[in-house]
Amino acid sequence: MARPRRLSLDIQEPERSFSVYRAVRTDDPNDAATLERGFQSSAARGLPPRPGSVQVSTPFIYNGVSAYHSRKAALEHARARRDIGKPIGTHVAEIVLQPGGDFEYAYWGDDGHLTVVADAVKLREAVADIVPI
Amino acid sequence: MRYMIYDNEGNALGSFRSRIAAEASLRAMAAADSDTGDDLVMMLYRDDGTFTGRALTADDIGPPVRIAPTVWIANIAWAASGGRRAARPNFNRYATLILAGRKQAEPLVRQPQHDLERESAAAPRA
Repeated sequence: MARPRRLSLDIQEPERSFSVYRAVRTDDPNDAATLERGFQSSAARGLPPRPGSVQVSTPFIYNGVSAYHSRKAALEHARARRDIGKPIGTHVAEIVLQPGGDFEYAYWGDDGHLTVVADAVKLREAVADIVPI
Repeated sequence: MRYMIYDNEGNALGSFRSRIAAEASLRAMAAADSDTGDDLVMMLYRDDGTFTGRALTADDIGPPVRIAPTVWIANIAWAASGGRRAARPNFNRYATLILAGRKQAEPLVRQPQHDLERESAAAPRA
């Protein structure tokens, strides 16, 4: 299988607080186990990088999770997945990335998509809101 | 159009400008992991980067395309003739992509027939 090209990412740390959005499988902000599991990267889950994907060529992506810069984009994505029977969550969480919070992120792809690298516990602690899809 | 592939957790695995490349990558990733490959999804975006609302699975896009033998024959005949335009067989009419598993074949080249006739008329006679 061809090895994907390594992505040239502009990896940043938040210089000011801003929100990102990601699908989750609970509406309860106190459901730590479900939220943290949903915020774990493939690497944190102990899964190997998926063959043929940029996880193989770009470790930052393997160690991160996808999110969107806008709630609208995250909702549209989650609804599209639900509508074809491949759901990724029942709700969308707003996660506030703050400076000094051990968050790193890089935009790539389309529609305000970014990969966020952070500990799943810190991401769960940063959840500010959860809305249904 | 632009394309992104996501896994079963909604994590992006690739971003593409070419649909052919995106579909090939989706098939390869799905085939490489039979446990979770079925949950891979390709999302379609407009050129301005906004989501179209369309999402396709590996099953939706089907197996790799194969070019029909008639296309190969027509190409070889054209090349053997020296590649002259006047001698170029009108293979576009017969060129089809045979999509195994799909009921309807798609034209390989969507060139209007009247354009082909205009080309033939304009071409120098041998």
